[in-house]
Amino acid sequence: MINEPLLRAAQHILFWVISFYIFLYIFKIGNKPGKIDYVYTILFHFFILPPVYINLAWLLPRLRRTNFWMGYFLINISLICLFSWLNLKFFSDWSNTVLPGYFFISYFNFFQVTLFFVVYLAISSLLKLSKSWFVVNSLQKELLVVEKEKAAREKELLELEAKALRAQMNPHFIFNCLNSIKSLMQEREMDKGVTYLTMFSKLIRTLFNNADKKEISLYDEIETCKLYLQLESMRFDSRFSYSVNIDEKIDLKSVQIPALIIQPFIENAIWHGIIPKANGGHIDLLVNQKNESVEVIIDDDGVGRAASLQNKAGLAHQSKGVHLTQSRLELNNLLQKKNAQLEIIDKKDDPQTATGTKVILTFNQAE
Amino acid sequence: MRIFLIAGVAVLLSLTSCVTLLQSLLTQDNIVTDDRLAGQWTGNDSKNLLVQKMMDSKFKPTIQELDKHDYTEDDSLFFTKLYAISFRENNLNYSWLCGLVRIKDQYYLNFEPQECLTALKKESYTLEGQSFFTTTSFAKIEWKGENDLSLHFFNGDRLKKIILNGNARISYEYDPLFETFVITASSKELEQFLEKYGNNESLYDGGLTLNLVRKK
Repeated sequence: MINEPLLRAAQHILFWVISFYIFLYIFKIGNKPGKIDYVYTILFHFFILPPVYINLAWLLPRLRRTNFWMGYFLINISLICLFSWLNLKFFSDWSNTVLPGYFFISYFNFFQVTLFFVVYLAISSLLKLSKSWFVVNSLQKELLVVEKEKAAREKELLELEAKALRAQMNPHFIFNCLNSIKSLMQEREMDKGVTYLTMFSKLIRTLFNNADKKEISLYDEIETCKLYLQLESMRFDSRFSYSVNIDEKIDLKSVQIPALIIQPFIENAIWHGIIPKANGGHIDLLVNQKNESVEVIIDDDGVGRAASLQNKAGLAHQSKGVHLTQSRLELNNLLQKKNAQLEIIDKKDDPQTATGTKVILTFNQAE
Repeated sequence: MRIFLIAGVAVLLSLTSCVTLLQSLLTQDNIVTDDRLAGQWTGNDSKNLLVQKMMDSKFKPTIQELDKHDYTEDDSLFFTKLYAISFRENNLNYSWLCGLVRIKDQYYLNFEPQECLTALKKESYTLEGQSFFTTTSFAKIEWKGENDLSLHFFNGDRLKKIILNGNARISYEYDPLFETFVITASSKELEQFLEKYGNNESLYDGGLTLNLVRKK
């Protein structure tokens, strides 16, 4: 790796060496450059160097900071005039004293010297700006690569989070099912318990199959929900009834949704809507086509969310599954660029008494 | 066109070491006149010089010549400021056209050879119409009185040496075969040269000085 200041110094030296040789051949009087031409070219450069480096080291950075173009041009014009005058004065007067052995006769006039200075300042400024442009361009490219890597990592992170959420969901569900089986066992309903266990094992197999999938078909999800409803219905000895109505026009297998996204709402409807209700209740699972979207509705006639919260003494008992599902929907929308929506409606009758909860999940097929 | 570098004027005045210029020092901006210059002058070697205003000399252009060369009004004005110098040596009559130049309060006389005729006025050496350029030279004028002046010539050999050594920045041509050397700088550059070095004594060291006294 070449030392950066050393490389910069080498670039400057190279620039001035090239400039020296170009000027030497412009200034030469005879066919070949003579001693006087070398001396003249070196001296001429002495007067170009200060304005060029004042411009590069001070004026251009200042312009970049302040964007004060008028000041920039005024100072540059003053510099050009000052050093052109010094150049002219040196070759017309002072060289007699400083270099008595040399006779500088064919020197340039003020306007010609000024032109040289203008060209030099312009070239050096353009070189500096083009160099800056290349640096900025390179930095932008590097930034783009970093941003892409960052985006990839973020996506990976989101996927991991989604995976983690699914992993959280499964134990939660399993925990509830095992509780149901435990209750049956405790109540010595062995046949029911075995049937429950069989169905549970069937459900667990389905869950395992879907565990690593980001999305599953709506068909698989509905089947899981049916199994779950059956299990819970048996568990609560038909304290609630349920119905599943699916629009026949919908090809359930072609609709992809996040795995286990509907089940938590059914679970909520049972455990927090129907069970607290003394005389049981009913759950409707509806799948409808609405324009280009598929709408999944979980409609219960339970106690409603407000009463459920009171029963559970606050938000701490609010279904963890609903919260997770909401997060998953948001993540899924973000990652898969979909537009799934969740709407929860607290149903009430005329005197504002809670008559249950309606959850509407909308999956936009056009996305 | 082949260029013959004519150092005639130098030969005529025995100024073997004077500076030879391709371009004249005269420009319409720097040419001046001085009434003191016209007249009969005697040199240090008792040779006689006749200095006349050009318009009073035989070199005064005719109307036909002016038409022929399509001269402008400025050119006509320029001619009125020129002087003609005649000189006789070895049975030959030499003539030059000269112009007086003022640079930084110093006067210089620029010489340009015109013709060289035999005593019988038979043309022996004319410059007009030949395939060569005439060269010129110059001298610094030092007035010592109304009737007394000196012409100081640069030491041509010394200047040539300085230039060939690469110590002077001025255009020139040098032919090492014939040892001919001529400064090819423009009139403007020559003016700059004299502005800067016109009073540099080292350039006159060893150069010719002609002392002229007005003939009574």
